[in-house]
Amino acid sequence: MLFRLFEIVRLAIRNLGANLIRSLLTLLGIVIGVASVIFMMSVTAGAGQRILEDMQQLGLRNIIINSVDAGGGGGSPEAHLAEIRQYGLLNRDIEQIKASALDLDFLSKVHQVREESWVYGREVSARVIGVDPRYLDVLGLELTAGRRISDLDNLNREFVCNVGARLLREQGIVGDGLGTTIQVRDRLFRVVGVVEQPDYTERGERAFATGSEPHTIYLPAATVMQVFGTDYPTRGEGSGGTIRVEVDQLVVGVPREGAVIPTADAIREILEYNHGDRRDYEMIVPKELLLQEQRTQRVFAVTMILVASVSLLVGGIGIINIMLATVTERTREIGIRRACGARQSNIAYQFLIETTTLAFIGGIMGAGVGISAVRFIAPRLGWPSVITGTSVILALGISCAVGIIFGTVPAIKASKMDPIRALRFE
Amino acid sequence: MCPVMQLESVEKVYRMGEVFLAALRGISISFQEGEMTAIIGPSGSGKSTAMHILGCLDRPTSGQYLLEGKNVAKLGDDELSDIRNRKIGFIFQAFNLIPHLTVVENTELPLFYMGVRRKDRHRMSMEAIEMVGLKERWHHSPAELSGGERQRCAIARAIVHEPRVILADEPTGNLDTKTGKDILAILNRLHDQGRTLLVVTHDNDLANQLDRRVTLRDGQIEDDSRKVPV
Repeated sequence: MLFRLFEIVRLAIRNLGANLIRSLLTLLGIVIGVASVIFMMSVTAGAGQRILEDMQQLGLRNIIINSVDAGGGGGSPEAHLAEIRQYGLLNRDIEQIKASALDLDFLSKVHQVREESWVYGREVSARVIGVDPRYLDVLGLELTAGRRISDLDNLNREFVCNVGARLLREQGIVGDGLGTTIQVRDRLFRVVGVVEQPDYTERGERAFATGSEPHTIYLPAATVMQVFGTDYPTRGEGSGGTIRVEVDQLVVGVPREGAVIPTADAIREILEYNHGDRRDYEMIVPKELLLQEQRTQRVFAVTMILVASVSLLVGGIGIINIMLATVTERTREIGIRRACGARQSNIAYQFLIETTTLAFIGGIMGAGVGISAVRFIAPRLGWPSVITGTSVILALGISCAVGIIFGTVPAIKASKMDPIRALRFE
Repeated sequence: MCPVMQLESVEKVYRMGEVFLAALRGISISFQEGEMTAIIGPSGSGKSTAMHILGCLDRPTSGQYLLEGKNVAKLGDDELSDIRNRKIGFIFQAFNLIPHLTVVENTELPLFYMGVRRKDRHRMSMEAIEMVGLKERWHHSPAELSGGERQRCAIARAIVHEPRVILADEPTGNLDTKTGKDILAILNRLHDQGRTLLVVTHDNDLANQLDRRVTLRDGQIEDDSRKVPV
């Protein structure tokens, strides 16, 4: 049976080649259908992968809460009296989150130091934050020299810091840079570790609130609290007011991915209770965002699949049409084959394979067009895309299926012809 | 000896709308192994219908058709296809070659449906093509052949699978006299090899050259005569 299949396919290709223009026109529908299936799947997969990467960078088990300066007066009544403008997360929030029965892996606070910093007398534009070791993990920092800020540093209120390698290089420091002193306001911090920051995606930058500063200096959070506290004079307004932010950022680690959503809901409730109408915090739950994006993607994918199905349907109708015409044209051939001993099933098989070959060739051409579209159009639209083997195999499979489905009617018509009448057909 | 083909009171009635048309009205005849028979008659006499039934392209409405002693009158489509495939070779007036296949590919057709492997098919076809004198043109397409060459190709196809019976329907009808003679010579050679041939024709000259001559008229046998050996 198999040796016959190859021969029939070979013959089919020859027949199709004999009517090249007609075959190509017939295939147009299939080509477009298959191309759009591949394009759709690649773009969807690309978008999905980008979102997943984004969210993995943020950590799918993390809940990130940033303090946001919502403007206007804020805080508690006494804060207002003392001309202190307070916003953002409160220690109370954190105490309540800790006290709740939630199962948490870790809870990491970040304090931003709103002071200038210098390296050997030269001012550097860097964001200075007080952190704990867990937070360095969350950020995905890689140590290139020395050691990280440790729990012991926090416990002993050490004057040490971690900095990015780039900052040291820009300041002309040779060697590993360990032992360099960095001055923040009037305090000196010794560099004990040099870190490499990963390239955050746009979303990552926003979530980690890295801001516009090109560099970050990491200090032990406890030292920061002891030395700088939570209050800073407002700058540039000349009013001598004070800004108070108790906690700038909070990262909550949840032990299981499945528990993220309920935990996030519970935390949201605590925050809503404490802050009321004040929207002075922003909660980012990567897991939630991922689910949301995936939902949107599914809608997009279903729409695209519908569009692709319509063009495949149109392509299939084109094929059925041309094959019916071919069967009529080749009536005499059918009669001859029947006279030579072909069974009805042989004839049906032959035409079915011919149609399927036609559709498969359309599928290959469509795959070519689709892959080219993904390569050349998607980047110009700024869409991320991934060509997966699955999509190509699926598209080719679909084209074969179209051939088989739409080839059945012409094949049956051919096989049911009366051999005598077919032989006499002019 | 059991005849190769035997028709017993075979009738064939066609229905055309409301009208029933009897093409064969009770024909009984038998053909022996190695006989070369001409079936003649005017158009409408039923000779084509007889040929279709003998060639297993059609079934009689009633009566029996014994092929090698086996009644094939009631067989299904697949069985009839298999009989055509193994036991019968057709030669048509209009040659009936498939235009997009070469000479050798046309010749191979019966072997293809017998399931013969490609290599063997090619070898057997080339032998048949050589036998009809078309060896030089085996890879040509029918459009590149003359009428006589096309009919040779059709003969090669009819004999390639060594069928028990060869049925020829007006084999010289579309050919000029000289080419017709060439074709007849080939058919005679097949006869000399001991094959059973049935030639449907309305050409009296041709019919007179064969050993046996059956004349049909109005769906019945009018005359059945054998040439007396000289």
